[in-house]
Amino acid sequence: MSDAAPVLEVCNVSKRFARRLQTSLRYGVIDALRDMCGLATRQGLGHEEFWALNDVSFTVRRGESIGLLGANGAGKSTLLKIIAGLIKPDRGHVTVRGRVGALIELGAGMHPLLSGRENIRVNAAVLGLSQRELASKLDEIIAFADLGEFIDAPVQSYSSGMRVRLGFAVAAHLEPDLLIVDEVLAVGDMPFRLKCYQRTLDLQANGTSIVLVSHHPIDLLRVTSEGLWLQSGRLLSSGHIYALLGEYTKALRRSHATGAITDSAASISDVILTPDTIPTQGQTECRIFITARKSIPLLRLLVHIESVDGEMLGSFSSSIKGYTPCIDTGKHLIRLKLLSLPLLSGDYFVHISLHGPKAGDLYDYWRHKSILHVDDIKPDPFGFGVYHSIHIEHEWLPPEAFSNSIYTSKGII
Amino acid sequence: MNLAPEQRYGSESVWRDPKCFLADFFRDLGNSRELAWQLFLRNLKSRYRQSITGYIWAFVPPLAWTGLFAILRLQDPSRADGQTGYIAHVMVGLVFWQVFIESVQIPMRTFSEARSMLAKLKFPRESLVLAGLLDVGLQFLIRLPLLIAGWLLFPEASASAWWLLPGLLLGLLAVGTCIGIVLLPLSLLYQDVAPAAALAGGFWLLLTPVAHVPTSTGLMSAINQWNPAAVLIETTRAGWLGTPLLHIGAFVAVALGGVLIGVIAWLAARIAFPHLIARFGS
Repeated sequence: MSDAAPVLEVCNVSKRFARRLQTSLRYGVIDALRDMCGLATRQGLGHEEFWALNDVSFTVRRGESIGLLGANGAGKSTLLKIIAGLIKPDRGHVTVRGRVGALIELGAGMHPLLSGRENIRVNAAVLGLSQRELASKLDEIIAFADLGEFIDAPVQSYSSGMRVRLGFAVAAHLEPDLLIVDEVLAVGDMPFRLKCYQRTLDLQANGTSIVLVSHHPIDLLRVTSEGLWLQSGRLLSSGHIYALLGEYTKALRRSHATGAITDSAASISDVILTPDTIPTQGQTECRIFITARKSIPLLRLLVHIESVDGEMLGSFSSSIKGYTPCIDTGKHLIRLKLLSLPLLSGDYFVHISLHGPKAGDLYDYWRHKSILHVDDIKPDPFGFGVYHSIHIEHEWLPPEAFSNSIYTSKGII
Repeated sequence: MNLAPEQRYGSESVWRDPKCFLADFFRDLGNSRELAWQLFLRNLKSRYRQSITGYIWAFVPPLAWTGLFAILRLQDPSRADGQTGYIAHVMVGLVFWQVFIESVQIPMRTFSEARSMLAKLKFPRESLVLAGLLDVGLQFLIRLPLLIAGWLLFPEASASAWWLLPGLLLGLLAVGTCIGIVLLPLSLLYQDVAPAAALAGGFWLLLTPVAHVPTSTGLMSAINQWNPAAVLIETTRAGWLGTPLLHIGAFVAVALGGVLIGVIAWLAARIAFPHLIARFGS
């Protein structure tokens, strides 16, 4: 096998499912019988069927890592199951070159009454590790799982996080050419997750390709470099994970956005950010176009800044600066300067809501429509740079020696 | 490792490349031995951890049925003679029947227990059936004292045909498993199959000459002419007790036919698995 040949080729893969169980089972029998008789696959969709995957193509080269994005039901798990060879595509084909390690569900095949150690033996065999290979790796696996004395306790007494430790420890020591991970790490605690990422990156450095499904942007950023975005079974977009994640989260937010509040005293017809791309600590002007249907004696504006992964970073009301203009019926432009925004590189929503004098007066909510791009130092999720959203001004002082006599719980005196 | 360097999963029928399909089958069969052994050990270790009486459960079914048949026979005073021989005859027959009916149930039982594994992991499916068969073998060994007791109790018992026993037992296992494999694909999708098979198993036991002496005329005789279990049980029991082997030719024919049908059914099941797994989800 040459290094140039992709580890995984997915060519025009489609898979259909039926919504109702009874229909699905019937099609299962029909498809199985047709296949046994050597008849061609059914064309098109039958009654109550839909494409769970539709004409998906991509390749993964050696050492490359791909993150799969998509809402629930987008076809991610179906795609992974086809790649793992568990189910058959209805159109197209998948070619996998090398050993596949699939973590579609951790602990599948583990017996609750057996101890962790006994289950490692069985799990390794199920995943394709020979007992000879296992013998050389058993201590390493047990050390990686880090379960202490629990390794000899029955698995039924384990918490879900402990099961994940055991399952990942075995799977991560398979040294596969292609590692498929389907949203299984979410239950582990933070130190273990970091250990998993490190192990995944080590595998990657040794040439393992990775296909990862996760709803946690941070997981995807840590492990993958490229992304594929699936929507309703179709490959909607692909590209660098960082850009794709921004695009994906924006769309997700937009789909959740509420419509304008109709029949209210005033509404926002547009918001323009100039400029819409700024550096960290940069400033921008926010032009808010308002249509008032009647005169408003006291107009309050609330501004919210939210990261694209849904974290509300800060809000303020115009009344804090005593800005509560009285406006007449008609069109008005309100200008707001956002000064020295302490935001790290990334995309941020600027939400604006219009309120009247009383707390319950909400006229309009301009939400998930205006995006501010901050373009500065690239965030680093590995602990060597800046990360998350807020820029924190800071300064380190040179190290000093201290003796216990001058150290109290309140600090150095 | 259970995967070849290059693996292709396409929508086209396996018959386009039967050579590759058969090569996959033989590779999986080879790879399944070690896994089968591990699964067998797993089942063995776990089975009796939540049980106080442990291996006694292996003895209960044949002993209970023997007791029942003996009581029924005692109801008829004209047949009071030869009671010991009858008990031995029934007990030996039931031990072999257990081997047969357990091997019928093995494919359905092991696959049903491993549903989650089947949906989530790619491993040689053959290992599930092999692990189940190892278990049937173990259960048989545990019941060996019942066979020995039967042999000692039986008036004209001889060990003259014991050399045939490995072959006879293999035939019993093979035909039973083959029947199970034929039922397997449908049982993965529809839950009606397993209870129907369990019910049919009960009727089948009563129809098969395990506890009664076969007649040469009448309805039962006609039924048993087409009942492979009748030939299998009678021949294996005759082999153990040293009574005349009346149906050895039929036994060989049934065993070979069963193996042939079983292999074809297994290959068909291998084609069906990806379709069925897609439908039963996790």
